Amino acid sequence: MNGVWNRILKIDLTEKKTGIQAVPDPVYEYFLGGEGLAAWVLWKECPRGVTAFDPANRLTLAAGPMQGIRQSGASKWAVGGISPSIQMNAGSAITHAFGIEMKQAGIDAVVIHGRAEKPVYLVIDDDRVRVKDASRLWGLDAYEAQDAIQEKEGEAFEVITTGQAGERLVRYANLQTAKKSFAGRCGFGAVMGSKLLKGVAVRGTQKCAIHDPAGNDALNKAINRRLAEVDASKPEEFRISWLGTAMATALFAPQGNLPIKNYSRGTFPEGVAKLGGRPYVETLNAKPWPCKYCVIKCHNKCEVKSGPYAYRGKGPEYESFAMMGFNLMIDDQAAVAYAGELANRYSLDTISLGGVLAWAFECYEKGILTREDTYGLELTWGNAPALVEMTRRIGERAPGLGYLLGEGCKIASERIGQGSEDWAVQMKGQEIAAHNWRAQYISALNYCTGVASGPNHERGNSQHIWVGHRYLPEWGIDHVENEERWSWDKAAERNAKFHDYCNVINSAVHCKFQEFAGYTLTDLLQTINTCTGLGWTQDDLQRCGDRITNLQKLLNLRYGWKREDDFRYPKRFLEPVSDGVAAGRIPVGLEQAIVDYYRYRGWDDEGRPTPQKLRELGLETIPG
Amino acid sequence: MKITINGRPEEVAPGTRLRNLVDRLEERVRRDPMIIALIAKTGKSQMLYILNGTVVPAAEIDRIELQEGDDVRYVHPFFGG
Repeated sequence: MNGVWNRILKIDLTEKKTGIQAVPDPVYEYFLGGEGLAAWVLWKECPRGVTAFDPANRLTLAAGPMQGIRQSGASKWAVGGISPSIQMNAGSAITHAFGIEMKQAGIDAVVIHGRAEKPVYLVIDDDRVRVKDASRLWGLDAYEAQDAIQEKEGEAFEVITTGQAGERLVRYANLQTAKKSFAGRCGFGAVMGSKLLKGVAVRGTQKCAIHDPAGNDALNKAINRRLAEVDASKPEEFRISWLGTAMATALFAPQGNLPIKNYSRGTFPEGVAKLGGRPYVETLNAKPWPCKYCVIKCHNKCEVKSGPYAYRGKGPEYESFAMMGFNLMIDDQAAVAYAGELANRYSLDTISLGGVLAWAFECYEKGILTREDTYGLELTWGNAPALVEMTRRIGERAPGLGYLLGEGCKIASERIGQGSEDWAVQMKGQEIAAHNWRAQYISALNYCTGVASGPNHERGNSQHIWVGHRYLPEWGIDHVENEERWSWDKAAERNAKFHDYCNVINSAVHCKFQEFAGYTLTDLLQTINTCTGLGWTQDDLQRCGDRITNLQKLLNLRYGWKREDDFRYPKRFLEPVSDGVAAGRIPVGLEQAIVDYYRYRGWDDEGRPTPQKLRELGLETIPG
Repeated sequence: MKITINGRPEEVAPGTRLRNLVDRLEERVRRDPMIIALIAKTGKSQMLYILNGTVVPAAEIDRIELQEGDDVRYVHPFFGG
């Protein structure tokens, strides 16, 4: 098949062996690449009983058919494996240029297993692969490690690294590239740490043949021009290229979508005035920091020039300042940005960090944690210095609370007890992201039923129907009335289609944020076809998403998922807030909606794919 | 005659103007809280209309008559996060 190499690089850190494995066309025809390919690797190589920190776990770094083309959004790539937070199969997307460089090295993916005897990093230089000593890098933060690797190997290498949190197995430790992009969710930095793998450097010079180079080139130019034109046509305060995701505050507040005070309040006017929007640009001196080929430029490079939170580096994205700002009632933009960058250096996922700290702050408020537990810190709502110091303690895995919070709020609340499980806003071991289910009930359904990465707002982004006005008209989801956000009508279908949509995007691999400048499923389909020659229709694309979702569900079952896991949602889901537009709204009927979702998917009432469904998708046997 | 709106085929009467379509679509989003907030702040819904791959400036919407096979897309000004 065009657009892929039909080969993956296998690295066994225990045996210090590397090799190339051929991957036949049907694997790509079924699962495309990226997260689909990573799921396929788990299916083939990781039997029941393998856990996240087991050397047998496969950490897959995967590109898809779109890496290497000059289209905005095509710099995305994927990470997959068994997650230490949800303890099942998971995937995470990351951007910039590592995926492109990996593809140019003549491989579609790197699959790493085993555990090194001492810290190592990998160097992939086209066909040459070396495992190198990283003893002197161990203990460095993620950015320092990147600098050290690039200093040794050369600036031409694209690099991923993890920081101290990854080394110390924080369950939500991430991995980063280029000091700006993160495979944030599900703890893949800790999987690297468990393998004593500090980083991977890659460089390549090979060009993967695509089906229709001229057609693809023309398509890329048209799409890039249109996306840039759409963004430029917006008023400044709504331009992604000016604000990135920081524009979300002003737009989510009127919908009740923000997470505020560990999801217990509906409004926070001081935060709305100070976090995001124009203050973001002015306080942080934010400037666009685009990924390769990207025309919408949502990443920002920021600089706080003076004061206790002076720093220069990545600006926080919406999820980061929502979870570390709004969710902790901290309205100091510079402090939140500084803490976010500190978290990035340690390799802490800022969504989970914000969720975990909100749980701890509420414990403190209720007297369950005291200053004796908190290193003398007052974990009071709005306390920015406490946010910064606790970020440091968790990143270092400081003995006591810092260590415990590195386990995530599920385990922490089980250890602390005293009813604190009631305000641990997590499912399956992973903290819930910054989209409030009270603003659109479908978010609750998505968090409960996600199979690709547990509860995840980007593995089923159906909240975008309302919060981002993102529809899938080619798949039958067009304009939706505002009031439907509090209805279960059609929720099963919409939730399923957005799960499948995310799977094709994350497997192609492409950036979902392009959609906010008008990227369409038609664009995606035409791009896949010009790359691969598959000649798919929208039905074929949708079926591919359905197939990947079902493979992920089969993996969930393999790794121990049980029906009751989908129904163990946070108690807070059914606690209303008393202020804001979503006041009094709780997703009553969620249980039935979950069952309706199973049925829509062709699963039985236990949430398992039926033999008939697997036959329909050709999944009685998995290819390859 | 046949056109497509957000990728889906639709039949419209010959002579239909883009303005007719825009009015219809704007009516659909009129009660949306984000659109309400935007209109309050900027005086406009800030919806964008794309005809055959090119953004149509607001001033030109009135002048355009839709043709057979036209591809019309509309984009809300929001970002998801």
